[in-house]
Amino acid sequence: MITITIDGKTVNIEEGATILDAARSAGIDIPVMCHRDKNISPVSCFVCAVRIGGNDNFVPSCATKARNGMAVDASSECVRDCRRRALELMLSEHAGDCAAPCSRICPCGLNIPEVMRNLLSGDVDAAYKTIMLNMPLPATLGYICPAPCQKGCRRTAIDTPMSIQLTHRAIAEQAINSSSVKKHVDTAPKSKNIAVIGSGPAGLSSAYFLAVSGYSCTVFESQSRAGGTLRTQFDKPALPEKVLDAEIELIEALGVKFALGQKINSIDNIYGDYDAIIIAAGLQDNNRRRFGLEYGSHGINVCRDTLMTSRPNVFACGSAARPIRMAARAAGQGRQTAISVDNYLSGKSAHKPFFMNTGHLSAAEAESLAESIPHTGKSKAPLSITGDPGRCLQCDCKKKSSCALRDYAAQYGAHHLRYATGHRRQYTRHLYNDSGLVHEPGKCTACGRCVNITMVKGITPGLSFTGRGPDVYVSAPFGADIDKAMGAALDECVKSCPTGALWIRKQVVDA
Amino acid sequence: MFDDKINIDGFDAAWLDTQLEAIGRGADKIIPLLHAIHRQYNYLPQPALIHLCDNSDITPADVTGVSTFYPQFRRTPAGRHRINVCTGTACHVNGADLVYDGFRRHLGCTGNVDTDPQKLFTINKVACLGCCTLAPVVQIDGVIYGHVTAAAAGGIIDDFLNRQDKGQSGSRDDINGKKPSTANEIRISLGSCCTASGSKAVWDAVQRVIDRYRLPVKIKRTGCISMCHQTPLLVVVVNWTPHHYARVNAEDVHDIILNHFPPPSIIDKAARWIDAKTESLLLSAEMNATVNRRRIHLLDKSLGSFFGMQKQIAMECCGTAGPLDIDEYIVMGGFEALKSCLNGMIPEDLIDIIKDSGLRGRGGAGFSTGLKWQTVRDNASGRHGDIYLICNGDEGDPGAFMDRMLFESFPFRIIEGMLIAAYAVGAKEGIFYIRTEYQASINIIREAIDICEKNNLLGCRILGSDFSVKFTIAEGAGAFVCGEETALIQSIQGKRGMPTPKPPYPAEQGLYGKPTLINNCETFACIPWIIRNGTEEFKNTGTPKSPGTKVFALAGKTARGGLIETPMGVTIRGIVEHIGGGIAGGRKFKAVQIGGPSGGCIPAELCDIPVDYEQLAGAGAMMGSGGMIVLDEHDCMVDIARYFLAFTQNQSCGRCTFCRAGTKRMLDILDKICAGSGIAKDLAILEELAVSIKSASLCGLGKTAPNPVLTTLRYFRDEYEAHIRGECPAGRCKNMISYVITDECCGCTICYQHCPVKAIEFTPYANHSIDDTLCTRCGACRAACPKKAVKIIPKNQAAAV
Repeated sequence: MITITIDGKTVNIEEGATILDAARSAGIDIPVMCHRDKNISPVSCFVCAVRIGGNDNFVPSCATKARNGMAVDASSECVRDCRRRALELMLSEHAGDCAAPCSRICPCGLNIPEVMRNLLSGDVDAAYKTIMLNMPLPATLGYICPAPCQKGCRRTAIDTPMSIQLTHRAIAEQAINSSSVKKHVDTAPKSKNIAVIGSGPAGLSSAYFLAVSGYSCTVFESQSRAGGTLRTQFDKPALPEKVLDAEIELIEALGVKFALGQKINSIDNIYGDYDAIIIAAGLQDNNRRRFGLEYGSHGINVCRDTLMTSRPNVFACGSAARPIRMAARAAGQGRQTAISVDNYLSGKSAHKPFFMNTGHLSAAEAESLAESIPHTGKSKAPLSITGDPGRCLQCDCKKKSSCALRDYAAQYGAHHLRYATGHRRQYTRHLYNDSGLVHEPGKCTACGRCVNITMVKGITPGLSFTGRGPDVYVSAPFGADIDKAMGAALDECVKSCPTGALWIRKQVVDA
Repeated sequence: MFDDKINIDGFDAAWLDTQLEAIGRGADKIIPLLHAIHRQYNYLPQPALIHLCDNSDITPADVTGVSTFYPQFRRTPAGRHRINVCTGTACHVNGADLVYDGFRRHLGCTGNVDTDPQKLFTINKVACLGCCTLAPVVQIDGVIYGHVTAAAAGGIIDDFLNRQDKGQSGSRDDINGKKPSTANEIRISLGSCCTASGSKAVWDAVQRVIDRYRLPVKIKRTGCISMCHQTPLLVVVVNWTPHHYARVNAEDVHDIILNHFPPPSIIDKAARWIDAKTESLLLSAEMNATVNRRRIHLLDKSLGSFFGMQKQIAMECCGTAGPLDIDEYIVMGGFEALKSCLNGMIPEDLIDIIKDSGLRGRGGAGFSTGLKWQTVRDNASGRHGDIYLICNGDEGDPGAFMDRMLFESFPFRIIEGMLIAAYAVGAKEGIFYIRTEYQASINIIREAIDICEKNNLLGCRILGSDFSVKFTIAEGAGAFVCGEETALIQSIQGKRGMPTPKPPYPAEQGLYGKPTLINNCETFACIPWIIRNGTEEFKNTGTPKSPGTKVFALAGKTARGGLIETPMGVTIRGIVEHIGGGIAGGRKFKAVQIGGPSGGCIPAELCDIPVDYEQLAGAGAMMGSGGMIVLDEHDCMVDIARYFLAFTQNQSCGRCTFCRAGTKRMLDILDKICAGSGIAKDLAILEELAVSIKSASLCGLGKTAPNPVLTTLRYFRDEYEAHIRGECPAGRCKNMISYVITDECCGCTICYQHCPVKAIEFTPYANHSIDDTLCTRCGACRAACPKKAVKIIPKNQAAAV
């Protein structure tokens, strides 16, 4: 046994162990991208970098043996900087988006490609559930939203964008009219009360998401009917009243209480009754300073990340904090506030999620995506909507929730454009129909795990690195199909891939 | 990747089978086998590779990985002849890019095409041909052309094709260099550079004169003569006294030789009289004039200062010894050091001697040689495995050619040094790793090994002792990173040349996991001298921390260039001014780039620092392998930094994130700055990346790659800032300069005739002008103008004009 210190903590470990082994045995978290285990350790990513004894140089902890008396620095600012830069350099090579640009542009963050996949599987209920994860008023917004999502659609590089707005409207209208989607809350109820002041898009949205998370919510509205600007800004042909009514009813069905005709002039009166208060009272020019909070030139001052005001437990969103024209944006902010309130009350701290954005695609790149659409079920959804979900390029990353690069990028606050100094790699996708393997070489970090696996397992022909330096890429010898080259190690390679470069298309079940 | 449509008619499986039989079928034989296929077909045809996998232990993944890692291997068919445009540092500063463009234009290559439509020539850039003093250099198959200009492309290709017709080749294999040393002899160097400047023609002329008059004198081939600026150099030795003739051409030879050796017989005398008469009738040339014009004395001021500061240890007997004359080597004290080691010196004592001498590795990093030997020996004891010895001759630095010269000139000295090292550490097998670009070196070493084996200096029971060792040669395949010791080991094992983490060091676990001693060939060349002359004598030279001498390749903008060996501790300025004779053409000395892509640029103001490992490191540079490129005021430091970074990022193995992606991003930024679109923030990012790459890479390549950028940022930041303002102070970056014709133009139309892109209109007897939008800044008009009326001005000024 030898003894080393990591971040001042004494660790005893067997001789021959690496610094990473020692850190793990002591419960100290060191990120890794390329190292998997003793046999598969290509030593390439430098995300596991640590410093030894105040030396200026960084060493990969996965490949450096612990020596007796060693003092390891695994968490100082400069070690974190080094890791962040390694991640940022990988991101500078990364071609592909975490989320599809349509969902990124959608103020509610609607997962549009997933909705399209649900439709392709013929499951309209699933599509509605997917929508309701992000967007509480899909039918209403389907009438009035200017649909910025469609401007970001990758399909535009080839022909015309997907018809997204009409799609979610049609799905929602069908769902509202069917009995199968009556709401009930799955989450265990929490004994916490939230007051929401205002029932416009921001207020309704925050109340909805808090209710879904198990909070009991009361919405205060000075008018006699809920809806706020949704009722005042749009005339009836643009937004049929019954659509809005139906969607508010669904929110009410979740247990949200509406205190109509009650104008809250000071939060002091209700401050003690609620665990948190959300001010979503909209633009109120005459006396917008009535809440006794700090105000800026645009409205109530809020923290950019948490949307909390100068007073603890009080949050503000929508036009109350800063004038907003688009109802979807207000709804999106309502959702963000609900998440923030939940984090705050449950003591969770969440990293700001990381999103890679590759920018404009060339026509050739978009064609490559169009030729390899991984989910190609035949839509059997009884929907009379315009547009064909099969046209969706599904350019979102299928590994976005399990991608080590994305996870660490969020953890270390990496920015994908920091080293965006030149031409980026091509964003292409190859689909292998027999095995269902999808290969996106632009997302490969050249970590070498898959190459090592086929080598260690003695797979023939196996994978190999091709070329060298910045142009190095993984390929199958003699132009073979990459899935066949991986042979019996296919699943292991896919599981080991730390990014979305390798993944398996889910087989489409015909409904 | 492999193109399925490649035409593979004529692949001969039986031929490959014989190669497999001869070379072997092990997985570690992949590089020699690929070399064999490449030599046969000029590229790697896929059916040959598949056949290779089917009939050996080599896997398809290995073939793909290895063949795409080493740039020497082509995977698409090539033209019949290969044009290699050298882009080494010296060639770069002398306009190699313009030469490359010129050849491409002449061949009609456009876009990504590298082969002319007739499929006769394939053109590509190569890292360094090691003929830096003749820069810019172009090699067509075996023939090297020096001092090439873009406009000369056509002439050179014609000349090459003429040689082909006449059956001449650039190969020197037909010359037998094994002649014993005598009182009277004529020495001609046939090193790679000398041959490129025409010494083969001089050799032929000497041979003709000797045959014609039946002169009693031997002609002897020597290795490098060090004074590259004086080549071809002819040394006539009469009664042991050498007479030197510099820059000789074939026509001069007749007179020079007959001046020293009058024809012996009456018939020959008559023949000479007749020749002289005829010649005087035809040319009315005076013999003595020629003789005196070419003659140089070593007492000459210039030569005195060229050699005065030098001291030769690794290059002992430079220019006098025949490289493959083992008798001569023995007469000069060769193998005495080996004998004294084998006769009663125990390895531990030997290691102590080397430790005591203070010798440090000449490959660049300067690790103590004795300590390295000690570590290998310590690791070997207790284990009963093989120990390997490797001579690192993978001299990839652009601008360095000392290893090549040492191999070509002193093969026995290196072998002797390696034998002593093998004895000290207990190695049973020694391997020369030599880059494939140095075919002449490989041939000479191969022959030298043969000769040593025949003389019981290699093989079993050497010189009757119990000591046995065998030497083999491994050829590189064009990857610079293989000079790094762990990558070199991977390469010998038939893998992609990817460095591995250290520790374990090669001394602990090296080739095939066994303790391995790797030294640079210059280090080995110093060993016999130290044993023969004692450590005190060695320590008397150089500085206390860096004793001995260092061989440098001096090139660039100095008046004299060549391969020099100076004691450690002399100043850079001393080397540039005394040995190099200052800057040619009276321009201003600006900086010295030392240590190649791992080194840095030291400005003229700091050139009074002595040359040793610590001082150079302190200045941000590095000894490196010893390339020393002198720069003048016409060299743009940003361009130099970009040049080196382009080299290293292209040579990165691609393993570590920082080196792979970081150097690429740095190059993006430098490209941007050189193109005139840099912004102030770029410098901060550049610096941040440089520091990160240096501190977080596995091997020496990554750890030193940012040095050229860091030193230029440190000493020449104003030039970077000028570029960001849109000016290139040296007038070199194409996007920031314009060519204009001044009023001195006489209307002779020569510029019009030379312009390859028709950017100059035909206006006889009137001022010509250049269309800036068409101009490619190739410099052809400027070189051709008889009135020197073509000027380079900053582009923003041109807009104002």
